[in-house]
Amino acid sequence: MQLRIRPNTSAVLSDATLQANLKPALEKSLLSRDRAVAEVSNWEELRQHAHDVKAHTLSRLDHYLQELERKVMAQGGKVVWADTGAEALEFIVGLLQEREIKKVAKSKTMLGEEIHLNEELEKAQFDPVETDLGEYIIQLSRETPFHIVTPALHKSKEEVVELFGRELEMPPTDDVEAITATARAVLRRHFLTAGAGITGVNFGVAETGTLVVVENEGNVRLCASLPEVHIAIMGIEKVIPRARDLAVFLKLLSRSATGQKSTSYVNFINGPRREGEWDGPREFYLVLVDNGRSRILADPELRQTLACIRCGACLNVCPVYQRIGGHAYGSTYQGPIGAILTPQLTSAEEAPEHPFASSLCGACYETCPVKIEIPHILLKLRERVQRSRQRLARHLPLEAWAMQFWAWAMSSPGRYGFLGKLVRRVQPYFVREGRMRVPMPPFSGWDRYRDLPPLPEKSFREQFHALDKEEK
Amino acid sequence: MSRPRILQKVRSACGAGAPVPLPAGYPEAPRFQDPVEVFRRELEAVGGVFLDARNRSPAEVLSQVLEQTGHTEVFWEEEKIFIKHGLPYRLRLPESFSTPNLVFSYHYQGRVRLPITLAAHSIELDRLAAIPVSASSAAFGIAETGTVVQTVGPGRGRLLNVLPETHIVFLAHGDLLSNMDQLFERIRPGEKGSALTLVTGPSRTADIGKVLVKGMHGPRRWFVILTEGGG
Repeated sequence: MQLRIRPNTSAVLSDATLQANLKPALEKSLLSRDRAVAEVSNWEELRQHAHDVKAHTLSRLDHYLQELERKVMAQGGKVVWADTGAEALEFIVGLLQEREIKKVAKSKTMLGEEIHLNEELEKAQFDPVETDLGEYIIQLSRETPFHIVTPALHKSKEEVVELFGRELEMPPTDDVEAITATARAVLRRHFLTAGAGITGVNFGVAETGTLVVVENEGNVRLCASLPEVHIAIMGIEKVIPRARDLAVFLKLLSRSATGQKSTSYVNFINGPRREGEWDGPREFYLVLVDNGRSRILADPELRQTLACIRCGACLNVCPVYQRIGGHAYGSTYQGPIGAILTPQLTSAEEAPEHPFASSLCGACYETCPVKIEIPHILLKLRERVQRSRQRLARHLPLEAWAMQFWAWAMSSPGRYGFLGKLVRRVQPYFVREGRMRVPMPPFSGWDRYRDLPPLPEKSFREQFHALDKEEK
Repeated sequence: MSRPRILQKVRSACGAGAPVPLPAGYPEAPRFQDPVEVFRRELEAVGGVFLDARNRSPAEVLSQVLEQTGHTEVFWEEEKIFIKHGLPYRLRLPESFSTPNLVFSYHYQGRVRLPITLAAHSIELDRLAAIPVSASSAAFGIAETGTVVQTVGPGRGRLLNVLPETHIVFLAHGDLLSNMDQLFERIRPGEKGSALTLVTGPSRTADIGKVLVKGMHGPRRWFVILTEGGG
């Protein structure tokens, strides 16, 4: 199956409600992130440290995975390795069947989305319940997350009221506290009757066998405490060597993701309940999922993609995401990180448009807390698509010709100056309302969402020479 | 069994790149002259309530909190940790408190008016979930973020700190640290119990219209009472 972006864009761009909701919501995130980051005097040092720790870990990933496994097992947990999403699902389904568990309380996990955990559990007649409010909204409305941190970002309060009215028989209200209280009560019942809890993992600490999960609502805490079985699913790239590095990673993650100095809860999970502890799960499973990650690791230039800590900051800052939102990407991961991760988790053929869903402005790299060179990786992936491109073959002759012409024009100052003069001479015929409009193919359509400013009357060189003369 | 296959793939993939050293040092984290003030500021910024009981009776402060929240009972798990904070097991109320005789400190695992035994997990869970106010003792506090560290261990569980709408944490002054680095210098996760949580203020969500709401799944009201403590 091919994941496309282009066909989805015109619908989202003309969706007035979405466009009205999206920008202010993202601006709010950006503002609080910037404020939280500005307070940290050594932010750049933290970024570099996290970058270096991740680079090191990825260079010795086999070692750290085995250390993590050893430590988790030593404290009574079980570790399961899954090569693909299907293998992870097979294990989870098998375990639930064996324990005769029907209801599963789930916390937000992007890996869960990636392997279509809910869908598959439902197909196998289980009852998975999302317990993060945003994810619960998404589950009830049968959608996919719009954003990796705030999955229901695109939903207005009114839409949620309508949804809860229909699905939970909530009386109409415009009080967000009341809506939240309804969700709390409904989900609390689910928690108390769930046989298993499934959570993701933000960091797996090799030296201590600790699975770290960050959250604000308390639902991860409940997923990992109430049911008798806790299953934590973790991408193999999420391991870090030392506990103390968490001080750096947690600071970077919470400030980048939500502009908080710390999330409300940072859960450290070290296996199932121990002798003498009042409560907690009797069984703990860590499912380590590869699902294409080792393939990404094998390319030294692209492997930094795996350093991502899923903070979502690159989405908020991306001019493309700001306009088209999350659903247009058609993939689990959206925004700049989705643009580089998706074609690598699948293939250049399956997601040929993702590397192009960027203006290469570099804001994602500037904001990335672990300094992933997203624009650089985008270019590498574009190259890949370009090489393997069969799909765009029909555009190719024209594009190639245009590029050749451009190279020819740019390689001599005389030619460039001459062509500039030529364009200046003819452009008055095409300027409408201060913008260039060329109402003939292949140019028409190009300018529907873009503004091409006309060339100024005098070129830079001409202006420069004039200045030079004046001074003399 | 995918373990050998995955490890083999990972091993050969790692070999494709040059070895990268692990940074030996750690970036500096702020240390504060007056961590109490920073802790107060940060806790209040996230919607928690800070009460300084260093020069007052912690029991009196606790009674005030209960009065303020309209409750008369508070549940906790271990007696000994409250002795640490100078709290008598049975609370003595200030004269002014309107409904004396009703405030008790309860050990939620037995011996109490509402005995809840977790041995019969599923049966008693509902009663545990119905508890309105609980209290605990923090292992540490982190001033930089207004965070307290909650641990589990023998005689302590994970649930009582997170299920009720109101939670009261006692924090000994000597356990208040400036930053998280200092925490990891003192503890090793997993050494003493199967779970540890860094808690920063009340449970919250902003998933509907980006409006901040407290008390999504965990406590809505979050109090931290600073005591002299015994260390």
